[in-house]
Amino acid sequence: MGHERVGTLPKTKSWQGIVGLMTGGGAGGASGGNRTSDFDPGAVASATLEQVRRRFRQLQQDDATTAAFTFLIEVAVAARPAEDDAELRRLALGSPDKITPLKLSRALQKRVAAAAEFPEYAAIAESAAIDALAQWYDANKPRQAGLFASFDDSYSTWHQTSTGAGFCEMSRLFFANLLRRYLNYFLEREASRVIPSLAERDRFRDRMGAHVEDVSKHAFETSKIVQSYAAGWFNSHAKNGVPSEREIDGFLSYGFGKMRDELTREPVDK
Amino acid sequence: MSHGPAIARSFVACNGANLLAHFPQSAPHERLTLEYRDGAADPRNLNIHLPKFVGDLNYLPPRLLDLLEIASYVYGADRNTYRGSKSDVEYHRWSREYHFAVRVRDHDFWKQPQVVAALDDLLSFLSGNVCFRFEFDGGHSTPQANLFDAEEFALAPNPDARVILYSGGLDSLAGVVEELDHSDRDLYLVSHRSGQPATSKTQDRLLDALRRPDPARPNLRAADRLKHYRFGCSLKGERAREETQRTRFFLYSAIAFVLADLLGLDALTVYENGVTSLNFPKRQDLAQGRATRTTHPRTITALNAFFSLVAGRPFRVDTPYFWDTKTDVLKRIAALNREGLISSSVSCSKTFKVGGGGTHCGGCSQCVDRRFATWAADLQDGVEGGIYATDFLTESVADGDMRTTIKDFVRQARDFANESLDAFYTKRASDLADVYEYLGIADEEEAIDRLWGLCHRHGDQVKEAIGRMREAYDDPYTTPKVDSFLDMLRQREYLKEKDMTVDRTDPPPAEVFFSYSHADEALRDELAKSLSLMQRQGVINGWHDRRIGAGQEWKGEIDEHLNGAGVILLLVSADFLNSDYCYDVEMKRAMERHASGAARVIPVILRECDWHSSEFGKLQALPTDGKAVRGRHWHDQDEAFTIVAKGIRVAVEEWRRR
Repeated sequence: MGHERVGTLPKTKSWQGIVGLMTGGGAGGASGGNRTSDFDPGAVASATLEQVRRRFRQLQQDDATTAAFTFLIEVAVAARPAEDDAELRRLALGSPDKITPLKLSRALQKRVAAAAEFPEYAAIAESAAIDALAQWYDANKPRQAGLFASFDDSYSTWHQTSTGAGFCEMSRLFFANLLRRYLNYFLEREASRVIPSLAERDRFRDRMGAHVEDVSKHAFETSKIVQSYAAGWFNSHAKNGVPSEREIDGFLSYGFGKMRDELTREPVDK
Repeated sequence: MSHGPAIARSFVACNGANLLAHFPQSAPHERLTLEYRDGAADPRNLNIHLPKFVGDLNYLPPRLLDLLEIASYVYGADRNTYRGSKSDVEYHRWSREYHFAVRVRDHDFWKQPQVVAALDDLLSFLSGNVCFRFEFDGGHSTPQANLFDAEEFALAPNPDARVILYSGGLDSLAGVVEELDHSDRDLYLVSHRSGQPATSKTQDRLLDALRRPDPARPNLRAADRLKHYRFGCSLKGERAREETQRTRFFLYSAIAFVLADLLGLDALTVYENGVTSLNFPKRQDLAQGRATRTTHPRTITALNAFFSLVAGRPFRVDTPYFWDTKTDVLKRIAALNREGLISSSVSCSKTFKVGGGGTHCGGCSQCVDRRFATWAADLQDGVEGGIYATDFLTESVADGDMRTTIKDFVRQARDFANESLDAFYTKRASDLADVYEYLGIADEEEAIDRLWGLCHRHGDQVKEAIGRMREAYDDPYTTPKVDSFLDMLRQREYLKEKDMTVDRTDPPPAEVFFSYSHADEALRDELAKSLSLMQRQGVINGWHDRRIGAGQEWKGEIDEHLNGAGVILLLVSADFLNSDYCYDVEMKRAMERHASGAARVIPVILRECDWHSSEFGKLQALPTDGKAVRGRHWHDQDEAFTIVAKGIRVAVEEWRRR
């Protein structure tokens, strides 16, 4: 009980080159004596995605990924009425209580499970969407209230997702978390193995996380094109309800494309 | 609209069932035939010691016999199905669809849609597979096990008894000793024997110890009350293709359920601490059950539903230690003064790695958890001796998997300790979504609060353990071995705030030379203790002549360190002034280097003496105003050394920033 299967990256030269980059040791493989403070998170992320370029495209087109993102759109659409919370409660499996991120997450899990064809991708997409819900709620709840404030203001918080700007931010969180989790899916297998001290292991995590956050913000916030695209897309395509699968696929393709472009741009323009 | 890799499917025929009749689509896929009966149409490739188990119990009704066979076949298929390499780029081979065709005795029961659905729900989550589809054929039977294999000889009900899963690990040990002490009921211990002699030996040895008369407990009757039932199931004649055996717990609990049902009980008990039961993934690649979900609340809920169907009445699996950490469990054992039993228990999941050096590998997740819990409970002295093949505290950990396990264990515990309730919720929402509604707590807030409290306590306990480990092993004058745990901890920066650890390039530690008379060796040791935090933080690297190894040329060594030091401490006393070597050689050279700016000399006045007119008398001395450490000026010696340490820290930081 409590067993864990400890994974590794393939022993091919190209993967071991990425391990080398993680320790700041260049592409020649892991070198235990190097300090990770030398490592370049952009180079690690870019090289990793380059290594799995075709698979990353499969993840983008996976039915479970589409289902997870569609659920986020449904939340935004259901939260559109200013006062009437019935539709959002229905989405949260009829919860009569406060509409918390976990209640929506349980509903999301069922939706993703029904669409899951490749469990690895489904797990990453589901977690990314749950992250987005939890982070959105945490960032937008009234400042004086904790997650467990005694009064129920949950609907007014979710209501903010129904604007173009709200949807744009929720989308950014989803793309950022999906990218972060997908990169970690590979890098965390080796990070603790090759990075010598716990302090440097933390540094590695923090800098990789900050890099993905920067990339997503650059793609979604500082790029007026994407921001207006996302907000405009939501306002026009979701005006009368949840957009069609084809429309959602189109948005996902655009969003992933922008993220990938930002990630592989060298160096990242901050 | 996916274009990903095709999902793997396994088709499994058991007890001579016709696979193609049920699954015509199985023809091009991986097919497996499992059989345990001698003389059946298919060759025997599985050992299921059903006749012996029935012999021990006299009689089992057909449905329970079916259950044991089904659970054994699921286990056999799991062991026979390769889940891919640990170094696959993506782990698509980990999860697959299983399609079973099984011949059974109680066909009317097993073919019911709700039974099939309950099996699927339970096994899919437990193992991380996509699905388990079952099709059943009737007409199965097996010969009578012996003359007593008849309903009239069935085991007599024992409604006061308790059935306990018994692995030989710490948690089940704690459960058994508590039950022995706190009740007088009979305890039926259940084990699965998978053909691993080391595990069987551990369970038997520990049980012998439990049954031994205890003079402190004359009325315990442990030998009478403890009854042990073993069920053997393993692959026959071939090595398992898959080591992870995620479905083993289904077999294990099915054996216990059978016994509980025969005894007329409505529950069985699994002693497992909550942190292990939750087993929150420490890395992204541990999703999909690659971190086991054996006693996860969702697994337990699914078991309750399935066993209730089989029993035809409400049945539950109790997990009384769910709100405990491993450390809490150890404290339970200690509270009953039964810590003497701890070293006979075995937690290791990789005993095959042990060789001749103990009973635990020392680096699997269970060993790491056990070790930190032992130190957190302050029980290390009596129970640690020689049981670990790899001592990660002081020895280099050559195995990369072990390094990953140790570091990620500590990182997760640290996060648990530091996260606020809101951060715990936000960062772990995807794990919590799978748990909170299976806890039997209606209120979400209360459920998450209790989970946070449990994890937070675990984090604090691991921190406490690390403190004890450092106190015991971390010598400020000795560099820890590369890749030992103490080495992984060096600088302890992982405990600092994030903004202090990111993007900062630390200057190297200052080399500190202690010049002292051997008559003041004890005081030098005390000073060194006061400086140990700086040593651990990587601010200084101390050296004195007692670190000269056997066979080394001492004068050359002293010269080398004296000439290389950035900070030189003169530990002043009458003996220091009286020593020709201290005064004429070390002090003179130190002052030369101070004058040239190559080093900073700091006199530390240990004992009252006439030092003001000496060559170093013009330097700023410590403690304050050069009042001796051993003098009447201080409340006690610690106060004086604290002032000295603070003064040295300031001087060293200035030196490092030069």
